[in-house]
Amino acid sequence: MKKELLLPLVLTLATVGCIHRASGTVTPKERATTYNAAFAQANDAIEQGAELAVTTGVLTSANAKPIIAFTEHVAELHKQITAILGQSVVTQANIDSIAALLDKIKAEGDAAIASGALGVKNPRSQQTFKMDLDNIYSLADTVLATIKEVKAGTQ
Amino acid sequence: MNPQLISEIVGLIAGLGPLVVKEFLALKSIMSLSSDEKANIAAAILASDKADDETIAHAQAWLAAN
Repeated sequence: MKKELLLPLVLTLATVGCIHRASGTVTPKERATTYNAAFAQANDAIEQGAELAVTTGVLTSANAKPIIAFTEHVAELHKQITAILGQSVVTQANIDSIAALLDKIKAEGDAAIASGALGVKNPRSQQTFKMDLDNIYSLADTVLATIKEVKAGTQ
Repeated sequence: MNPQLISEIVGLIAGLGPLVVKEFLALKSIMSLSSDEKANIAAAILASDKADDETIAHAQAWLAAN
């Protein structure tokens, strides 16, 4: 198993195995907002990694530009999603807006892939930028699925 | 954020790869532990906006310089 996978795995097992809450349940909205925050953090790590890759000489500025510009736009779009999540009630129109914003993010990411730089390893994550992008796509899908749970009557 | 939430989410995002897990754990460290749902949601929203603001500021600075 890759070294970089060991720490998260150990932490996961330790956390899942040892922590139990005596009462209360985790609500879909808590999950949705937390996944949403993890998404923002992962996007930030891609931006930082791209800058670091240029500094360490593994990526040219020209190749980093599409990635960094992409992360900036993702963050701008993502703030709109966060604002929607901050509302007390999630409507179907909200879900449609969030889905459209996430589709926009994915379309831009697919365009960034064409830059050819995404096969380069991100020094922050120790995996390729392409894999990082796939991760945030998966997280985006998870955010949307969880928001639908919120709408489904448990908000 | 309550411990159950942390364990649930870490367990679920483990399948998404090291970047997401690592960043979530970093995020967790800056979010307060609470059993109150509203406080957890507010903390997550604040952390999300903070990360996005940092991304925008860093990206704009880098793009302007390059």
